[in-house]
Amino acid sequence: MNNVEQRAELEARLLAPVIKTGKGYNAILFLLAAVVLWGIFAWIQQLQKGLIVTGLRDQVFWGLYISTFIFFVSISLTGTFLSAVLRITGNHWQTPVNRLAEVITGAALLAAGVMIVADMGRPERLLNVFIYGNIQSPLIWDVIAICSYLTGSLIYLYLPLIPDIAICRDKLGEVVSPFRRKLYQLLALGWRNTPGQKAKLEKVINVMAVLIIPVAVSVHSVTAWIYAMTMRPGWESAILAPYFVISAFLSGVGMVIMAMTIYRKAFRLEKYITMVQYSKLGWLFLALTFIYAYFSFAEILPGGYKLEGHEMELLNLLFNGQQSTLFWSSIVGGILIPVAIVLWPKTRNITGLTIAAMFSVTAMWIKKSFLLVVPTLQIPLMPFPFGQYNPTWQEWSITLAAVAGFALVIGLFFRFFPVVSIWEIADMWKEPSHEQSGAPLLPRLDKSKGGA
Amino acid sequence: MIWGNGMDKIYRRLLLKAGIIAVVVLTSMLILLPSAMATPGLFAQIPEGFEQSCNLCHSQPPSLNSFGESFKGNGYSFDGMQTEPEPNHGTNPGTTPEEPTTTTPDSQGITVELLLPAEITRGDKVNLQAKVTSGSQAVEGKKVEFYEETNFFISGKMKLGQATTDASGIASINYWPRATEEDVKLIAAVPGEGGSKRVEGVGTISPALTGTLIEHAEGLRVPFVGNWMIAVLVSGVWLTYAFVVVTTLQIRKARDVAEVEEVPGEEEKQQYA
Repeated sequence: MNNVEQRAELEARLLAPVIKTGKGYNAILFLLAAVVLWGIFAWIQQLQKGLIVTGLRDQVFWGLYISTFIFFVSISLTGTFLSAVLRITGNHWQTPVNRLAEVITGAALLAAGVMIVADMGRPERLLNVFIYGNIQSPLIWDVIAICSYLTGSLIYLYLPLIPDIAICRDKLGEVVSPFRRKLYQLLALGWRNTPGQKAKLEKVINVMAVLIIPVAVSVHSVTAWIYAMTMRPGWESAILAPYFVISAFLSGVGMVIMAMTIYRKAFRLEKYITMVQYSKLGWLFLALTFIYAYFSFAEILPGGYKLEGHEMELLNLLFNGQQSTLFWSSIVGGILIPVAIVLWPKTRNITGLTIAAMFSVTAMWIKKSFLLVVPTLQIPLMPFPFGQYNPTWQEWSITLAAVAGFALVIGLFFRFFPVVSIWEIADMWKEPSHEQSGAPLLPRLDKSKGGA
Repeated sequence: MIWGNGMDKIYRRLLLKAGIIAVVVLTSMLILLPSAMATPGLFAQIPEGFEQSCNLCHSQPPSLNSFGESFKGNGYSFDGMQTEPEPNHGTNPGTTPEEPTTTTPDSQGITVELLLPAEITRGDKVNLQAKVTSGSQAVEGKKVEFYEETNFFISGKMKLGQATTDASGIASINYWPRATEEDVKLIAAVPGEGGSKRVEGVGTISPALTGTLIEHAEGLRVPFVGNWMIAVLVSGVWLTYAFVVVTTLQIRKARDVAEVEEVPGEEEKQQYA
């Protein structure tokens, strides 16, 4: 098969889901939309009656909403961050899953914003955060960091998409609806693959790749500082920010692995998302799990060694109290099981790695989201009884709606745009040994024929 | 290839099933656990007049509070139980600060006396002392917890701190009275251990109010560091975004000289159709 035929097959395969997806895929999108609608119904109830319909009270004032907010912020790290790091270091193995990872970042940040609005008793006052925000508050730092990261991630997602949008514009023609044709026309920015266009696109992609890395790290550090700046057991910790970054990286890699498996199967992308991506991400996943385990130990040891005051109460609560089942499940499910699956040769395959990632992501929600927020607030600092928190059906509905909305955004995005970057894959084929022969420091677009 | 090449179908199915079961179990735990507090059978038996809460018996589940211990000692029956567990101390509400409080000894003969200074000013440091004795002998090495009884939304004891008795049986902590009530009730308690009951010494102080309770603190001062740094950093990021957006929009203008003209024909469009 020559280059032209190979390219034609690549475009045919990757543009097919943009033209028409299977019934199963559409059914799942409808199901997700139904869950979102149910969540909106629950949210309207919450708006009408107030936060009293939730399990949140004076003492445990953050629950499912904020836990899930942290979770979404966590999984948003990997997509853009990993893509940017590999791009500026000239590694291209992740190219087939770059877009998938970057869309996960954008969708996760949007869902994180939804969780914050859900947690607000008076969401119509959201604008007050920007008008009357106190710059000395870590909450405002987080608002600034997340807005910056969301904007940067969307720009960074859009830039490498331009040549592929041009391919959609030029190759799909009358096959798609007039609305789509106009959309592609608008977003392609008149891409004709000219040297001037390529130079400009290359320049801005490189600038964004360098800039987005510190912005991504800042988001996860600042989110950790919301907690670390308070004098509460479990939160008042100097290592919380790097711990957040590592756990975010791990849960993000886990989410990318899960999404890879789903889209590889759904869109029949076995030829493009291969064992190479699973292998590299698998070892990265394992290494991150070990680092995460180290941080988990380092977080607990000082408090456990001193066993003073509220720190002791918190550790009792986690180790053998009300939250112990969740805590130990998160340790087993988040560290021991994934490590065992990845290390054992018999389970070291796509199915095994995907299951390990599912365990890890679930455990990460439990440990670094729910167990970070709720148990600390249960410890009374004033003469209150021990705090209790029972999420209500409204909270579960709104939270599940946000998760469904996250998946729905990703699903809808790939109804409009190719899940794998066509022009970058075509470039990779032209340079089969580029990684061994000394890759260019930054991506080269001059070899691309995308969108012409 | 570093990664394994596959496995037989049976094993893969088993792994998949195990994964699904584990996720279902973890999810179920998330939903069910927060409500799984007190022993459900016992919780349902709580009669009227008692606090309908896990906190009735648990200080921190599964640890029992004094009422929970009494309930357990009563054979898990509410018969004859009182709504307010009686602490083992001889409280004298009229105790003046000059007079040390006395307590009734526990089964091991330990008593606690709360020693309060004669004059106390609200907001000023006070050295709270408690003396632990057994008969006439001072007890060394006993942990003493100090509390202030407060009425902040609800009534309860606020822990002030804890100290261990020295050779003369004295445990002391520093305390800054800030409560706005005229009379403030203080408690020194030796926690029960090895089957013995908790022993408390109680006293009341009437701190004088002079000056203000509020201290204005500026916080850490570092030269040249301020909010302007955040402004510069954030502005730098957003200005770079603006540069990227403007440069990207110029892509449309840069199409004038096309390097390769690949205009798809009708046949090619039909192929994708």
